[in-house]
Amino acid sequence: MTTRTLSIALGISLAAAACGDMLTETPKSFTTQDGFYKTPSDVRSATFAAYQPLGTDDLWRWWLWLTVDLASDQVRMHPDEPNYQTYHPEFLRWDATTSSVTSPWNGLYNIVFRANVVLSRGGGVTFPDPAERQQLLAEATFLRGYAYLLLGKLYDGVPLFVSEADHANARAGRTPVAQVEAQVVKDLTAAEADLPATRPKSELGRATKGAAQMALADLYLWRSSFRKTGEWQLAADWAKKVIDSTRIYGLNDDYLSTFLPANHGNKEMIWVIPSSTVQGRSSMNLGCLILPRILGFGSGGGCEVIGQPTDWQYGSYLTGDYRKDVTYRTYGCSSDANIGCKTFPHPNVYKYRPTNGGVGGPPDTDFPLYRYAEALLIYAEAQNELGNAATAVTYLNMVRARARKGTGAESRTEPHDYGTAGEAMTQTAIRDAIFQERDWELAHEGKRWFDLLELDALEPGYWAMALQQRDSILATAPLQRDLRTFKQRWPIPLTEINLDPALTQNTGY
Amino acid sequence: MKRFGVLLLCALLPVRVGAAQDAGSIAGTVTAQESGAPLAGAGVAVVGTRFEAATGADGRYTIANVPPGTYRVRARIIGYGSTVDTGVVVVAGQTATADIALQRQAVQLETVVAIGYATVQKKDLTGAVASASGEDVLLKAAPTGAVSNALQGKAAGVQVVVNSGSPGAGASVRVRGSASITANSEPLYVVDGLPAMQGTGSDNPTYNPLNEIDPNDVESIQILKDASATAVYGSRGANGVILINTKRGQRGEDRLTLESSYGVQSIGKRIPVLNGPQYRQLRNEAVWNATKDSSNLPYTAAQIASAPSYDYPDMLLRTAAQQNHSLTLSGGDTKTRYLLSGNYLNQEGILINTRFQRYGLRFNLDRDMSERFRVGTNLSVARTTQAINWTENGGIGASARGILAAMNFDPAMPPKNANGDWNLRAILGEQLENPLANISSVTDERNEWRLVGSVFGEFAVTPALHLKTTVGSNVHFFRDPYFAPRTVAPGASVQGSATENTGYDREFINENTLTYHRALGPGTLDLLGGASAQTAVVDSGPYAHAEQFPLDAIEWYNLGYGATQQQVGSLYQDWALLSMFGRLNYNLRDRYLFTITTRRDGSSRFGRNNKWATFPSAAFAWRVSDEPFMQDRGPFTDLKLRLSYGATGNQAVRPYQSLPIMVAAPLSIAAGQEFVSLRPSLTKANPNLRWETTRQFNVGIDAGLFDNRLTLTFDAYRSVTKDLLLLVDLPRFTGYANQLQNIGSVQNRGVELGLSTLNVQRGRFTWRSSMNVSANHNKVLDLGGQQYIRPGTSRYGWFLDGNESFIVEVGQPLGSIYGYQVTGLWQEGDVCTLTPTPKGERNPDCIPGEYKITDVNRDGVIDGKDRTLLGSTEPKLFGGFGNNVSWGPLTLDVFFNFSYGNKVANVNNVFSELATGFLNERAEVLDRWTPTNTSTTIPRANNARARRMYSTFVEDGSFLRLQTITLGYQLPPNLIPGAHVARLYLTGQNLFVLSRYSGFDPEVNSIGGDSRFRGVDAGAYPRARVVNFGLTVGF
Repeated sequence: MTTRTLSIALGISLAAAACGDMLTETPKSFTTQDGFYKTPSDVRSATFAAYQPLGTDDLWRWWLWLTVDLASDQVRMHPDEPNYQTYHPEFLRWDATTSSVTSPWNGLYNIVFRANVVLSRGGGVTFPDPAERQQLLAEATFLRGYAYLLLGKLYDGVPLFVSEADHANARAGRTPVAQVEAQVVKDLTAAEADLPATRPKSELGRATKGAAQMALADLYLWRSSFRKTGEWQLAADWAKKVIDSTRIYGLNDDYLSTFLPANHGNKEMIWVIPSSTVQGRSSMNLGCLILPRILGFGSGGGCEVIGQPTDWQYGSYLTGDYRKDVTYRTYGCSSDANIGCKTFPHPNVYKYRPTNGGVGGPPDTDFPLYRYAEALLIYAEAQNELGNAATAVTYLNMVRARARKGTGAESRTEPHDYGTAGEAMTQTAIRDAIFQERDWELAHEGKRWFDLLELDALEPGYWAMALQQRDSILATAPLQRDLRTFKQRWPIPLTEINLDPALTQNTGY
Repeated sequence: MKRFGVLLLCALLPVRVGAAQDAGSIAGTVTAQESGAPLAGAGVAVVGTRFEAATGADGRYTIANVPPGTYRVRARIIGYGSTVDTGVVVVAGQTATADIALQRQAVQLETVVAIGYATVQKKDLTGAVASASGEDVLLKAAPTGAVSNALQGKAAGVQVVVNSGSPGAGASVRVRGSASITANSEPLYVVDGLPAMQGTGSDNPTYNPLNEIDPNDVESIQILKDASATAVYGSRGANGVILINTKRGQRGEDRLTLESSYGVQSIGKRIPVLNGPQYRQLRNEAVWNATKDSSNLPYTAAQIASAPSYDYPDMLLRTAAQQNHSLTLSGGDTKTRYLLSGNYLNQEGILINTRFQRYGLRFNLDRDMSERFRVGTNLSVARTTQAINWTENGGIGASARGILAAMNFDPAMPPKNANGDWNLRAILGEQLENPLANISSVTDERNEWRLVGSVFGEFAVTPALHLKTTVGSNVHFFRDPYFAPRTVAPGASVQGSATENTGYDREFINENTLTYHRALGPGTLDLLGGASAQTAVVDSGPYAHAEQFPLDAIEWYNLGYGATQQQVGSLYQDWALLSMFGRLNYNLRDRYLFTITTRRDGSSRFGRNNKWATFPSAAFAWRVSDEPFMQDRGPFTDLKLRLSYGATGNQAVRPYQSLPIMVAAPLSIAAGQEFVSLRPSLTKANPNLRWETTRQFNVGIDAGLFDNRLTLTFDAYRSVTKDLLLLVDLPRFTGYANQLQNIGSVQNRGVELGLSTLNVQRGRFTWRSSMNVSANHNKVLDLGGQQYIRPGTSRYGWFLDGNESFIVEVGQPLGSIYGYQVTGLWQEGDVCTLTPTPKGERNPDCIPGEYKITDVNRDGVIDGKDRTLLGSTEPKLFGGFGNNVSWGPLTLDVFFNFSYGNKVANVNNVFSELATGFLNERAEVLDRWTPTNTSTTIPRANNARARRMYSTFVEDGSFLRLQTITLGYQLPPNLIPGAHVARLYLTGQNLFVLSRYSGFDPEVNSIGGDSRFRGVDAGAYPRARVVNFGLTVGF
């Protein structure tokens, strides 16, 4: 009895001690990197994961859009917005620790890393259709190029990694911006060759040749002005490729219809971030950024952080410009009967109009990254700088002509064709007109901050002048913008510099 | 096996001590002092020797072979105080008589202390263990519905902070300080030998793993504090161990005990807020001062003057009832003992529509199958419902709920509009949702079921060698419904919003222990060996959310009614812990006590290279009072010195953290569609992840003076925790944000003193006092080379983003508040030291009426670089003291607890006292700075003022609380027919708090158990004053 009991007890104990493999973790509710990147579906998923940061709070869903718009002369923050003073972008009061300028760094490097993982691992996976693999790799290459394009535009030189293995280097220094931009050219041209020209609506949001061409045109325009490289011809050439793809792209008759959810993937949209309308996950956050708090939209109210044009912006449109009617409103209604309809003391951005008016669930509006109208304006600008004023004005007026159509069949008087009202035809005057047109046409699409920097490079002092004079609320408020020139470049996040002594900070920070 | 048997045989050979020819003996009777009845089974020992005997059924004993001399003879039995007969003279060949009468003792468990897998006589204890017994300390003196409340202030070195006043609120418990930064710092709870589910490290302040236990069922609570005491729990011992044992049946007649109490609760303190006109005035002023633009002003003068006023806090508060009933049946015969109890608690909250309910059943059984074989079981089932209904979420501003939302809501807005519908939300500013509408209509509950049970068998292989096997399981099921109808803001725009969150967690454990006891040489040896295997599954989900319901009546009961069904989720985690442990106690001549303990644990949670670790400890105690030279010992009845040193671990990190996890990354592909891609986690895998290890040194004294009329326990300790699990940042360009690594260390040093005295004992009058006081100093020693780390975001984000308001810094304690030092207000004529604006105007941070913020780095700008340490949330001293007076049938118990020297971050005032006017504010804001009211500490109205952690929100959290006062009356026997005992009592809880804190209560922890964010008051549910009337009857 004794012996048997003892043996049982010891047996149990020894068994317990012996079942050491109980200690090996085999997770059931997620997979690990070790078991992933093996099948075509894994590579597809990994490629989509490289797109994903675009629609997150680091980038266009929140901080990147908010900062570039709020720091421009186009938008002001509603002064009754809570924590007004600490929204650094409005006052350019950011430093190397503020999310407004450091979060985009995180989001862009997430793209770079995930793209590099696809490029390093995807090539070895066998696909039933090798063309699909080539296309996925091209998308990863494109996304890496686009991420470095933005990194260069925001921070100048940054660590340049082009393979997954590179990322193991936590002591990387900054690669000179010229080298970074050379990689952008390399990536975007390579991707342009392999990407499909068109995509079905079921693939809205994925890159096409057109997207790569626009990114290249964007790059060369930026380099030519901001970096004074004079590559205007390349900017014009890439824009022209898009412009000439008339079987794919073109202007809609009605400016508004470009943005309406009913027209997802319309011919004017070259690359967009679609809204999934899945709340709290992958939907765009337009509601909180632009819808007025006073209407109490959604369950948490609106935010209106970048929902108000500056008085200058609102007053700058030519009288009767249809785009002003579409882009703004001064009256709106809440679903909350206690609030009802309100006339706003200040206009509110209403270019992105969700089907549900922003009430009850996330907005279904897509966010445009590149539009056909921008191709026309890039081409016009490059031609003007190349000395072809007439061509420039022709393309500029194509954008104006569409605006005159109003809802499609109107023939409004404004905006009149440039040059028909006695405007100066000097290169500077045409340039200013093109930038002004970009301001009207591309309002609230995250372009104006970069436009001010480009124009400032061509016409020194423009950036500070625009920011100082065009925000009427600031004329009387005790808060002032920090307009020191170094603010044109964003700081390398302090956390990165603290962790990597090889990184240098941008001047001024 | 054979060899083992031989070994055993050798070990069991009795070590005989030859009887000296010239010896005498001692004999006598042990009786109960009150009744004179003989006491059977009492242990009688000659102090300082190994001579001992037990009394027979007639209470008699004989100790033979005692060498001649003068001795002290001590008799002990559970339920009675031990008594020593001094000066017993033994003469060779004769029998000395020592009759001892024992007094029934209030604190029964003084004599035997649970130490994990075994019990030990308190006198033989070598480690630092605090104990409280159920019957007397917990119940009679301070009846309460929650075990966590009962523990407050009762044990030295144990800081129990009940997180808020919400019914069923959780408590955050620190045994000797916070030993970890990111892993759980809460102690391990072991209930009837089964480790309770971990999870008290949760940052949810309402979560309480002890909620299912009815205090009426608790027999005793022991708190293991030093490394020697906790080492037997190895990798889970570093934060201390709380052993809770429930009552068991006793041999004797069947007993039926009824406990019943009824009480009322009301708010202890009110905080006045602005009325309608005052609020509108503030708002206008705030907008004007920020923009100087009259087109922005929200109200006209007429609108201000005619504003109505509604008292929202008053509308949410009520006087709330609570009742608690329990019925216990127990008894046993010579072979079987049982206890069966049922209990019901219903505690309404003092905010309307909130409550906590508990139903529980317990069945404990022991059966002696034979002289050598005993089996038994502990089973309990409990159901709890905690209806918080949007009164506490730790949110402030737009996400405030409950009392804070009521204080912040627009006081000029009526709760309902002319049609009788709720006004959904304030129209301007923060657009706070109508708190009265939400609390009245939103369902937000936590329903839990716990099934905890174990079966054990104990076999006496020989009288000295015992084998025990326990199989147990712990099953936890929860179902948390949420529903907001369309009539209130959270449901209005989506036509009803419903969520169900369920989970099914289970743990299984098997433990086998062998104990062996024998005399060895001049002392006795006790050995414990054991093996244990535990597996657990955390099975959360499904979580499901739906909106767009055709009607409100279905609520959350059929999510299929919702037209949009979004946000589903589930989570599955499992872990395993394998252990072997051993303990050796050697008692040399009842004077020198040695303990060596070791546990070896293997945990699945750690990296493949570091699965196993060993946690050894050793302790020594010296019973000075039993030394011959102490025989005429002066004032000391009892004196013991203790020393211990050892290592324990912390494995309370989430599973899988060493693996390269892929996480879901949802994105839009095609309009209106979502694709779930997979991406590498931002946290890089670390295959070398290992335990946090705490090494603790303890020195203690236990002393009893003047025949134990004064007993004291003093301990001093120093513990250092190394290999802290910390998320170490990586440069983001690596593709990762951080990696969990074992770096850094934290130190806790402290002293603890516990005292209890019997001040007067004269006839029917007795007066006892007790007090304990502790000081712990926590210090971060190392953070892997960094000087400080930002503690990361708390779950509340927004202003309360941990990065903005707390810091973990080398040389500072955990829970250090970090922010802007305010030294006053700028006044007209003050010289501004800050840089003027580019236009040459005065810096906006020094406009008269603004906070004068210290420009710490003297760069002329107030920004994030000017943040500094604002104080520590760790108290310098804490403890409790009580008095017990009994006079015949009457007893009076008064118990205070206190905390001294800690800071509280009153972040409510970010919205309630910053004069920004986004929300309604406290009445103090009437005294705000204006050009004509400059002698004040409240800044001018300004809605552009940044909401940050200012030193003005950091308040002294010291308090002295009258925790409980109880008046009891023992009814004469059989006044109630058949009742051998009956007692009436009246208890007051929290009747007053002495504190300078401006919020409701300085004892608050809105971010639960997280060591990095202690002492935060973010909309905490106010604590109630309770008056309770109760009855105990035993048949």
